Amino acid sequence: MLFFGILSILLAVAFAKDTCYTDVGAACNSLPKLDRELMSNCNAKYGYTKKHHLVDLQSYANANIGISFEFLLMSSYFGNYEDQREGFKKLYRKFSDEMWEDAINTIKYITKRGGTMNFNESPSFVKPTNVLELNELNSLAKALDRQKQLANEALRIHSTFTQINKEDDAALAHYIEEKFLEPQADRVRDLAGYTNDLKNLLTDDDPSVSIFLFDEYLKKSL
Amino acid sequence: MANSCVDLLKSQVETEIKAAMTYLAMGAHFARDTVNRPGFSKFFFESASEEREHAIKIIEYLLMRGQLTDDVSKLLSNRLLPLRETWSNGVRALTEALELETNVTKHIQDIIKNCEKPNDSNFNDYHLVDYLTGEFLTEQYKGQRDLAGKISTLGKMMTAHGVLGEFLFDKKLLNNEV
Repeated sequence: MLFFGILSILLAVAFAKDTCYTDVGAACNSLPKLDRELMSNCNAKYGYTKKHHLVDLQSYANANIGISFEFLLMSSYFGNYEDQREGFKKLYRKFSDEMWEDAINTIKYITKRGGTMNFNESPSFVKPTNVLELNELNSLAKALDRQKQLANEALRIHSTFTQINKEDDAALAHYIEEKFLEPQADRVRDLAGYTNDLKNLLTDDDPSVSIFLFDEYLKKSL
Repeated sequence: MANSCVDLLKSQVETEIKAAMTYLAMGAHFARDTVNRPGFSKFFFESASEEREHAIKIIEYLLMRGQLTDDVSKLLSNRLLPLRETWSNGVRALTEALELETNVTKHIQDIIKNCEKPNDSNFNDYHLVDYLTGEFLTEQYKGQRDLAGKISTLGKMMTAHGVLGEFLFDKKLLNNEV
């Protein structure tokens, strides 16, 4: 019994090196040092984030911000008096709002897991575009591509730590699955459906009425 | 609308978004585990979304006045970054927020001046000037007053109690009590 008692104390000391508890103990028993040095283990890093910075999530948040602004401008274009497509305007505004919220939530999650946000971490998976004055069908195609890029990157990030780094961080995996992978599958499917519908409608000689009706459908269905 | 007036109004969209980005960075800074000021973080994240809404309001106004028929892509540059990513404490961040708002107000005043008497036309844009004065300046001055009040309260709380003052203020901010 005594042996086990001594063993457990020895084990506790041996494994406690990099814990917050030992930091606090040392801090209270010594002369004041810099705050940061004192309690370097008193943070929210565990699992995957204990060893890795969430660089991918940082650039993912930045990508969402950039794409949110792209959708905002695409939406604005359909709101001008010449194009006058309120359904398209509403669709892209909805995406812009959602990407903006996703960016904020990603930043919150990074900090929840002990990380910091770096706005300079530019996303390599998405190339910014300078042409946002698109017609109806082209804009749907562009939107679909963007949503797929976001979805593919979310899948890649997910596999980075589940497969490549072999860190079984279920919390991080669940976050990406719930907040990104599921809604992205819906967005991609919706946009693919819209694109095909509209393309088939455009086979008429004069597609003006078709586009008008499709736009009205979009406006009412959102 | 006079061209110079439209150009200035368009540039205001980016000014608002830039402010939003700095607020976003403030929200991110105060959300860190080692900073842990959830009240400040919430306040700044909300401010970021508010600034974005301002940008959208200006876009809507331009659309209402028949603008943005061919040049929406030029409204925003590709990479918009915050002014900085860390702040030494709550007072510093609130003070910088106030400076940011003062700067935005100054931009709006410049637009008002120009659109009343544009250099390149005789058209006095009464409606835009009224809209900016009534809607935007009112909101700016209310926002500035709110920030100034918060800086005073927090400053007083911290003179004698330092960190405890900021801790308490943060919890009040979280529940919209200051």
